[in-house]
Amino acid sequence: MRASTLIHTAQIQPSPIPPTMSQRTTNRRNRSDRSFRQHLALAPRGLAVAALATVCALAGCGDSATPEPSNARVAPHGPSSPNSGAADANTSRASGAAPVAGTAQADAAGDLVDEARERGLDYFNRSGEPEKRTILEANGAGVAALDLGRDGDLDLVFTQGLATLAQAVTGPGADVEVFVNDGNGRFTRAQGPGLSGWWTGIAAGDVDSDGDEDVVVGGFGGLRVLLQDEHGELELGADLLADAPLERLEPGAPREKGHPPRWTSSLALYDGDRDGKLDLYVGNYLELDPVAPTIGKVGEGAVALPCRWKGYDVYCGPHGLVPQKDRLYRGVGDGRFEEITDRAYPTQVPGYTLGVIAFDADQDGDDDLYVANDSVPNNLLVNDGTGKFSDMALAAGVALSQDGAPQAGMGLAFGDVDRNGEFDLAVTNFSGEPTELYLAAERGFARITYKIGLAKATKPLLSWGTHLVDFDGDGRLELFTANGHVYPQADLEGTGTSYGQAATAWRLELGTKLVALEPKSERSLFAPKLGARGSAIGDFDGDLAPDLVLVRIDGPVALGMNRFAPAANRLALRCLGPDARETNPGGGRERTPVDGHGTRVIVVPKTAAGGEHALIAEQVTAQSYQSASAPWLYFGLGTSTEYESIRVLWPSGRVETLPAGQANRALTIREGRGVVAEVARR
Amino acid sequence: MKRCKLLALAVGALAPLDVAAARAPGSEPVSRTVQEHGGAPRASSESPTDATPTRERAVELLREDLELDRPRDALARGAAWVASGGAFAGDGAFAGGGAFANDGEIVALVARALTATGEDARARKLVDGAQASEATRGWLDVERARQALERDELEEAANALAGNPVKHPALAECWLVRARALARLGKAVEAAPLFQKFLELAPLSPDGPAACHQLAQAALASGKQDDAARWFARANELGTWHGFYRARRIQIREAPDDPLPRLGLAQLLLEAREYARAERVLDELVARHADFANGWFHLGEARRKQRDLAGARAAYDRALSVDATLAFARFNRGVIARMEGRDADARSDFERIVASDAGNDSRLVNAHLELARLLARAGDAAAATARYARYTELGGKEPLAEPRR
Repeated sequence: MRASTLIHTAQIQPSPIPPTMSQRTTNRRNRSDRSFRQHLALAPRGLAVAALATVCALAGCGDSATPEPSNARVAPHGPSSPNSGAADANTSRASGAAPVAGTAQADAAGDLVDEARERGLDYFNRSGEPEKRTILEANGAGVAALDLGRDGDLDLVFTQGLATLAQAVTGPGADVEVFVNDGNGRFTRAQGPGLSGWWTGIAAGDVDSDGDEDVVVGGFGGLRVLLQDEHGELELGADLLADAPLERLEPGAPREKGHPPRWTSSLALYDGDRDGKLDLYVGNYLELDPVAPTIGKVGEGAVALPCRWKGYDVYCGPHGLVPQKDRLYRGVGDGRFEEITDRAYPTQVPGYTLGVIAFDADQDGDDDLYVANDSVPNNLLVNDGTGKFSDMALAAGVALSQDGAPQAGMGLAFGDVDRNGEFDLAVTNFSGEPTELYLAAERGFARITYKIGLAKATKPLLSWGTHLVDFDGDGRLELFTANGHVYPQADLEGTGTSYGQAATAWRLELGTKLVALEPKSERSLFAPKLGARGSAIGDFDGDLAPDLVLVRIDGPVALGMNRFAPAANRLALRCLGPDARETNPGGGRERTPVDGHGTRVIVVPKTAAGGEHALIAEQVTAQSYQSASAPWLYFGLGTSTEYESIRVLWPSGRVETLPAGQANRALTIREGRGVVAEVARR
Repeated sequence: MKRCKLLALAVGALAPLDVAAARAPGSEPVSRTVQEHGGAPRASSESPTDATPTRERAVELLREDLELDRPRDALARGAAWVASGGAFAGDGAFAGGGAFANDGEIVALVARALTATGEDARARKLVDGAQASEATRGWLDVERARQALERDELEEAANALAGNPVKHPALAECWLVRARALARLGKAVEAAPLFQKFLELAPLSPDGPAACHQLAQAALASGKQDDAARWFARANELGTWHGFYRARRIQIREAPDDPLPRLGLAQLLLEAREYARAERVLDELVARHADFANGWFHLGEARRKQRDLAGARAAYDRALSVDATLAFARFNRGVIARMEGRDADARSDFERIVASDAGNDSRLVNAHLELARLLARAGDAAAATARYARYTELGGKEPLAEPRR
């Protein structure tokens, strides 16, 4: 969120200009994906359709210049073969089920239809009082889409706040809220793990390497690991604030003023040192004393500044309040973590972090991190390969606005928008600031926000969760943003914006202006002008089309079922690393995490001559804002009923290629074993 | 509390910030025109509904409203000024004939306020319907281009201000808006000289940090990493200055009768070497607070920097009449007296400083040197040597002998 007033502008640390990202990449690229990267680097940028030679190089068709590692094996069976691999228990069913009886599809073609109520999803967010007198009350909650119980469908875990800030002190606190999919796409509320607090951000992944997904949940004075047990229930794991009692907030426990709790916003699981054990980045926001919150003004006496926005009195922050340092933890692999903040990110300047994603920004095979900060420059933390990060955002062109001003970074997404084989970035911001879209360039990233009309479309919006996702299955990514202003005063005269804002999505026509996806009915997720914060992607009904869960603030959740282009061909992929007890099939020091985090996949649809292209995606869960999406990759193949190849670049360094096959299936691929589960589209 | 804050502010004033030097690397120093932001940033305590001010004051008020994110205030005061009847027939806010209806710059600023409140269509209508004088018509072209930028119509914006190299070279904002359009089109290198020219014309513009940032990006694109680092640093420095500048003006609006925000504002202007503007702020400050010694001292500083020694001396006198312990004022008054050949007056001031606690303040170490030289000039070699010894004890490095003037 943007400050209503400034004490002083953010200090942009004039860091030394690092070598170009491409130089670094060249120096550090591992052997297995070297030519992959080289082909990308040599390929013409911005082409709508990649050249055939590049496509083949990407995916290994024909005379690929990409050698397989000596220990790489082609998957044991082709796409048309049955489930010849040993089907894993947790992938024995597709990631959803048939639509609930009675839900209409015909009247909602080309839309995300909100079916939360029909499907039993009755989560209702609480985020303080309507007046929003403190900044905590404006930030809302998030959601994780993950498989609880290893039954192959996607369940949901929501964070939850409280009705008032005072209740965070007096109690009772809130638990996270769990909804279990019955396999038919209908949700039932389940018992929570028994937390008590004000919960905000959530991350999902297999942190104890036992083959199922776990959760790390952060909040206002809480940071807790929740491990999935054999019954699919979340049980309390490590308390990551156990050694910081003054930073913990236990509702109902005596508390004096002067001890602002640690306030976590978004979290991301990543594997910094490629040891196959998930590490944890914890984005923290700012210091707010729940006993004596800053209200009305920041500072004292004549040098105080009123908390005001466009002439209206509003809550204070972030400027004028103290930013909190983000924390990095090394995963031990059994659900425990040890803090490595100063070692892994020694040059950190605390910002007001709201969003974080982990992905391979420079395509050198390891996880980098992109951190969205509120009203101070964003960080692009480039991994040196050992899990030590340095910020290159300024040099990469993703720290500041086009005009060099810090923006109020909220949510983050990445994906290959221009289909050139490199990941592009989306960042949501405050009203008056555009949602930014950056394309990977020869050096860092190039902003195309203004060229495609995204600035005009998004400046009236204050946006949070975001996704680059192919809703309509045409092989091109759409941009989704969850919107809603922080100040109720936005509805007053002359603000140029509004408090409640409808969710938005656009088709990204790079050669021209973007095209908004309009709501087709009142039931559209894009119709209600309500505030929203977190969001997550997943296929909840087994049609392989990505659906979207939208966490509204002070309101009911929306479950946007994908009713775009039912005739489009699709492919859903889930990648898994080797079992923790197995020998590393990659053979080297690097190992793929059990849940496959960080695996990149390149799919080449089978197309007519002239239509060749490749689609690349990376399997991560941390996207959007305070949320975790399903660990599935959803590819749109358009009119292609088959694909030429699937190339899998495992974090271990191993590269595997699956031969041509039929679309419209959900495939689970395990490193070294090929396709181990396959379910047809419903 | 106020004393502590005051001290912090006063110390800040001793370290000039070369904000005006938005010329590195590679550009020539230019005279600083303040066409966009000229005039004293007087306390904007006037109500938006006060009587029509002078044109200069109107521009100043509107700009400050916009810079402080108060577009509704800008509209409240500006709508009547630019009312033209015909162009806004039926639009109550713009009915009748306004005092500045033919002033392109004021019309443009009111239009910008409309844009900031989400009234894009009315903003366009206002600009398109304005009958601006020949001398101010360029502002409307610039505003039209700015509106095109708001609509992401980048080519339209760039072309609207194209010239040799821009359509209205006397208007700093013309360079800025065309440069922005080019940069957004991905033509960073082409935009760079335009940004540079903008910085030359309006070094204290709130858009200065943005221009520096764009120049850094252009330098990066050209592989000039050292230049890029310098421009990034410059953007940071200028941005920090503007952050404080903005904060002080907000504080003045909030507490117009408190002297500290005005003093802080004046110090920022002194740091930026905007001495005349600082003097105007300080004149207003001491008019409101005649017993505020630090206000008089800084007024003396602003005058001294403009080589108005008599005016400076008068201000130091007033400062010391209010607070005789204000050693900085006494020292500077002594320096002026010495420069004017009034050695006895100078010696009196320096002797009083070195005899007080201020005599141990390393920031006033030159009081010992000045006194030593006066003593030497008066033939008291022993006293001069002793005083010079104290000077060196406190870290002084200058020789006792006076430099040739």
